[in-house]
Amino acid sequence: MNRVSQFELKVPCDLRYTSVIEGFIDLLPLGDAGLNAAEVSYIKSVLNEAFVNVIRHTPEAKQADGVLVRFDLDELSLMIDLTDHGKGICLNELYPPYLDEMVGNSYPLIQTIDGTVMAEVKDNRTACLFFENTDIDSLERADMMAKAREGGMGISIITKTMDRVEYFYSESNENHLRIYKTFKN
Amino acid sequence: MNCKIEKKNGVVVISVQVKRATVEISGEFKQAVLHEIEENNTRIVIDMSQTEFVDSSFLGALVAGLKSATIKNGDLKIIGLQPPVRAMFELTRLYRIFDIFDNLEDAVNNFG
Repeated sequence: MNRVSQFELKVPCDLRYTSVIEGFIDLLPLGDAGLNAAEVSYIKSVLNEAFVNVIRHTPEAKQADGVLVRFDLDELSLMIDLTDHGKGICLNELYPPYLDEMVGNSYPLIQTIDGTVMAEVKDNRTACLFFENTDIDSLERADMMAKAREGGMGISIITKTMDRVEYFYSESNENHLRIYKTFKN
Repeated sequence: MNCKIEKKNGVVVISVQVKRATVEISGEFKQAVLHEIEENNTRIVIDMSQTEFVDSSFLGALVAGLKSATIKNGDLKIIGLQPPVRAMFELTRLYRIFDIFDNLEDAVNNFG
């Protein structure tokens, strides 16, 4: 039987709590699950980026509600679910729920120096986010400089590092970013 | 102020003096870098040897500084990356656009 441990943290919608959220990762037995120090450090970075993103997208009127972060941990994987009350992820100029004709299609979210964060619409309320690499080995520095952007790296860090990234828009108009790390051992 | 600014051999050295270089300081840091460039100090070295953690917002501030410096025919080089910070430069592939050195002397000499 695969035993699941669930933890929930509710913290103020405030950047000063970013390190608190990251620090919670140290309390999880991720070393026992086979993750090395570098992989744990990446998960902290992912959590940092996701939490900052939630704060950025939470309307002022909803900030008093705080930010809910849920961790589901079992022998096979870690899932982190962050909830926010913003407008959600805009795909093809549309906010969720997405149209039926969008289901099955992939849309670009953010371009970075080495690729594009894409979102594949799974159903009217769910999209899977993934990183599509671009071959930049042959590019000169000036070409890469032209592609480099000040923003957008956060979601690329999340999609590059984690095994699965899912966005879900609930019936109660909450946005859930669910990020998954599968353990190899 | 979370960074110290000094000049060495015509190069501005900006030392980041925090363990966590994140969104909480990235705005202030970016303004400090852009101010130097506006003053035509376009040969810049960022010393990150005290920093153990960096986020995308701070990396974005570095990109903004690099772009501004190169527009004015300068450059922005980086020294002193600790392993977790170096890992973020590799993950984001920013190591392809920044010149990264182990120490200040090498970075300053690289300006020629």
